[in-house]
Amino acid sequence: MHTICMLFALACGASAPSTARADEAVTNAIALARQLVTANPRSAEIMSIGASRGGASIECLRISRDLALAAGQPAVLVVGGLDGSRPGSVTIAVECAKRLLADPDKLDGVTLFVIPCANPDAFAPSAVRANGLSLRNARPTDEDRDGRTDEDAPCDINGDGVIAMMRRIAPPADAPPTHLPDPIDPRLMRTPDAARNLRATCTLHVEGLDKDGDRLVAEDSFGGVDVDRNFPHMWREFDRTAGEMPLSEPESLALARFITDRPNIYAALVLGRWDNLLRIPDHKPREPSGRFPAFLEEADRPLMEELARRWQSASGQERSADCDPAGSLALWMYAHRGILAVATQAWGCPDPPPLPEGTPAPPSDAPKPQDEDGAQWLLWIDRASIAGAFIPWQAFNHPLLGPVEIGGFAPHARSEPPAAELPRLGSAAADFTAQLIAGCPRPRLANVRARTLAPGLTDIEAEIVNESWLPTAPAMGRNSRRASPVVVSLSVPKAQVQSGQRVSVIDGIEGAGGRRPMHWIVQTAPGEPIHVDIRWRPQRTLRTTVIDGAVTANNEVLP
Amino acid sequence: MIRRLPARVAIIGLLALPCSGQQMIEGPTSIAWNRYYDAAEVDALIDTLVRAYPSLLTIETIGASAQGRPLRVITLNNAATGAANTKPAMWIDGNIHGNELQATETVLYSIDALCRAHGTLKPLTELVDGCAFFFLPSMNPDGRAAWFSMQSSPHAFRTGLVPTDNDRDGAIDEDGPDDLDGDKSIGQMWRRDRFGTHRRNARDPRVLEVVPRDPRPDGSIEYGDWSLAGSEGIDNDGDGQVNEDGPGGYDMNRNWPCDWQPDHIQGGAGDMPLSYPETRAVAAWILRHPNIAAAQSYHNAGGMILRGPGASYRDGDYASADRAVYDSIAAAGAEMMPYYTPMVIYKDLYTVHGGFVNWMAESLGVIAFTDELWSDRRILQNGNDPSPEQMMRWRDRVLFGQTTTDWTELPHPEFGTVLVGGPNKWSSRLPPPFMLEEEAHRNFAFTAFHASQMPRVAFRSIELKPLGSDTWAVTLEIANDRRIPTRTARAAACSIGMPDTLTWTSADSDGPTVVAAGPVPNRLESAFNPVSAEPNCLRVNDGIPGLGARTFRFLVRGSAGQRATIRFAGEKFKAIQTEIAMPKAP
Repeated sequence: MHTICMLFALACGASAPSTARADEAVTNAIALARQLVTANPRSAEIMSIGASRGGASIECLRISRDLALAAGQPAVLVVGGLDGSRPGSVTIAVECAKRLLADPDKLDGVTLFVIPCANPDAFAPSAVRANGLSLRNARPTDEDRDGRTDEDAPCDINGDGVIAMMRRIAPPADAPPTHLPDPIDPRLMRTPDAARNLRATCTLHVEGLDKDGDRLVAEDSFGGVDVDRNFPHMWREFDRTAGEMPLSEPESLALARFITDRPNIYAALVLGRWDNLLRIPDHKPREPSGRFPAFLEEADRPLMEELARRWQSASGQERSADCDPAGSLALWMYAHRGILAVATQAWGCPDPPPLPEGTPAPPSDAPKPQDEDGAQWLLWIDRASIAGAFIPWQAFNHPLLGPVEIGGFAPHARSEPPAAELPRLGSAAADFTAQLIAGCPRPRLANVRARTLAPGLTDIEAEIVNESWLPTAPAMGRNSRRASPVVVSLSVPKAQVQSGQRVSVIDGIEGAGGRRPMHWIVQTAPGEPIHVDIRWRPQRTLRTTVIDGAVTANNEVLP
Repeated sequence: MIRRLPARVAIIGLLALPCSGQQMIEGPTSIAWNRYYDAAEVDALIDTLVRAYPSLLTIETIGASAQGRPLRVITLNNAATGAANTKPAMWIDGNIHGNELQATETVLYSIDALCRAHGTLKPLTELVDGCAFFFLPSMNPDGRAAWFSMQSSPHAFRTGLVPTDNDRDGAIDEDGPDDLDGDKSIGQMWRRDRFGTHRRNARDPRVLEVVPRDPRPDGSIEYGDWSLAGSEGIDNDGDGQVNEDGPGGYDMNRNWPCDWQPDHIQGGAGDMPLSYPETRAVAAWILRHPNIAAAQSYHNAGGMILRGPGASYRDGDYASADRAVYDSIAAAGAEMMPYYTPMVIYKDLYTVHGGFVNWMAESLGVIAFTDELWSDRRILQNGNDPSPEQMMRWRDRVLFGQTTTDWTELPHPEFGTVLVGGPNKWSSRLPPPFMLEEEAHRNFAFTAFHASQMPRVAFRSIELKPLGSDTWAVTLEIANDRRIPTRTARAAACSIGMPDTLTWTSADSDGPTVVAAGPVPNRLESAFNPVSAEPNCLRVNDGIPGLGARTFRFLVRGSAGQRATIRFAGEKFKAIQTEIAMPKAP
């Protein structure tokens, strides 16, 4: 069953008529990114954060209203192009950058990093054209452990230009059938149900041959490792697509180092396979030690719901596909780095166009195919007449498997939006990113009340307040203490602090007015200033000064 | 006629036999094994050894530590018996925790002992000729160098020296311990406290003893003069804590990519797996050497022969067949090393995520131990840990006070008057010099035994049975006479590495031709299980069990006199092959 699921995943990632020029689209998007830099030299630059397994540069746009100030500002990260099933995510990321550069007011005080194509090997022309399977990077792999790498990749055997699925009719006894065409819609497959006398009749395979003569079909595909399964959190050991160890791949390691080296990143938008907005994860599963949630800290749910509402408002997206986020970039950022990481597929199955007037609607209690998600897609494909999105099953005589039928959903048909949709989705990503930027946490000292208790003895009461709607870190990051803390310190020596901590390390402050009370009694000489410094690594230090019981400066930005 | 001796006389006679005397084997080196060496001296010793045994030893610098010290792997291999990568190999490292000094001396001793014995002692000559050894004397040379050169304690500089912000205040390594009394050690610190928990013992004021809180007959409560204030140091960064952000502050033995967990689950784990230059360099090198079939990582202390798993939820990673191998090797070690005990890390010690031997065992399928060198039970040599009083007498009468510093009263900026001193950095975890050589030798002997159990295979039998005209059943048994299988159960279950292969190669283009082949599940039965494809190359994922054998069969067509080569090869043993000729049909 697991193998079949993997085969489906491979087929979903293979090239299709609609995405045959995916490499060109990605190349054009990267070219546009470079043009943006040329056109905006004071506010955008491009840098390489590393190289892929295949030697391609992984490029990052750094954008700020004024690049000279970028280093000292909080930052938001946008990542696209993590796997080959979503070439559109590269375009969406670049469009996002383009729109925000065109509206610099939306970049106020925050640096934007955009990595449009985190896994360039997946979109390399050789990968896309020669193999059609470009989910992963270019690391050669020996999936069948026969000492040869990538020698039996899926291929287009019926010459229709697409690598689709094969269903083997009447398989032999030593390879018993596992599926049958769903009687309700025979285009879709389903599993058997003995109670309803639905017997399996076929086995499923990705389209291909037995090029290496081991009597297995297409079992050692072109590359490689799935970069978005190679991050440490919930990494799947011994799943060959996840790499031989966490961060074994140059792409994932470059991303991880880029992020750990930049503690000023407080939020991220990842355009990829996972979706934690329309499908907010369950908070109950735990990571292996059982001490922390695996996917979501329960206290973060309201924040995720608000983020989902804003994304849906920006994008109009209503559906998304289920995806296991184990080992993904976004989950790692959230669970291990304490970053507010939002993951979206950006596009899901659209609503089908309404039936022509006078056409009777199907009865609401009509039986549904087992593959309800597939049925929903077919509804849209049929009514909207999306050419090439579903390949009708056609008989073929396979040299090893005998009679088969080749067909099914075209690769990328359920993950890649139509090209005409990309500008709109880029605009949605820009709108949403702008809200992440506008919501930049701003912890500062507020409600400061200073008074002289006695000569040389000052009482200071205050609050550390974050009025922004985003927290300095999600609850996951606050509880794990992985996020940048808010450090509050007094300038006077500890011996003069009669009450309260001279240095307080606060794990984080919630958004929308989250606050922490502070109280000190400090001994000073007449006229001696007491500086209260707020340090949060994404932002510059803020200083409040009290002299002889009076506040003389409040939240001054230190250079 | 045999005259019977009285039983008591016989026993005395046996005891008087010179059963343990032996002369030192002469060799080209004269390294003192009754002293410790700092990082630079270790490098010099490595050079000395390689110069002394050029036909056996080679050095490869595989990377550099955070402070730029070379990480040097020494390969011990007799090239006359084959290249190192054609033999089973054992990995031996030490000192991943910089303070665990004797681990390095034990690695170096092992190199010297093996080279010195080669050509003189038959068991070790056979061992050296049959396998390769990869040694990394110190995986953490920065920590080792700092332990020697800086003020330290027995427990300090476990870490490497990548600057780390342990107290998360934005400053790095700004509040380490301070040597207030100038003895180059970080001892204990007691603050004067009129309601203290301890007092100095009247007979021996070096002893700080607990003051009982039982009320006196008059109802009053007695208090001591001192309360423990932690280890020697001041609050350098003024945050109200002492010594909370010293140099480094992490644990490279929690940084390996097996069940790696972040810092909030596994303290000291680092930002990500293999995030330190030392661990990354070592892992990359080990991955390039799939012939490593055994591994030991030397640590201190406690007299523990540790195997994984490090966490309870990975108990199932150790199948019963692998556990039997671990148990038998560890039992031999416990016999060779008095007061050492075989243990399971998570069950008998504590939970460890991302440990080195866990990575070797669970991710790479290698039989791997952590050897915790030295146990205080060796002080009294009766199996018991010394009491505090016995420990004090040991330090006075055997070590002559070398491992303690007299208490000194000093002013402290935060605590007022403090008492500083006590056991110094040499005071625990390390065998005293006069016991170091014995410690090194016994652990080397255990490691040599472990190495001797790496797989060694041979064709135990080859039978040709006629099945008809020019058709034969060729049945062969492959035996492994060592404890470690050619593929551990872990490797087989998780498809780690490449399967062993049994290949049939015909000398002539027209035969003999393999028509079917496969394993024979029961060698006493005639049936076998033919594979569906590529019968001339059987992939044996389960390998050959330790101290066991497996049977395979080829059905071949060939005429008399035609020849073929049968070869059995794998990652973790020396390949074997044999040639057969088709006999005349009966």
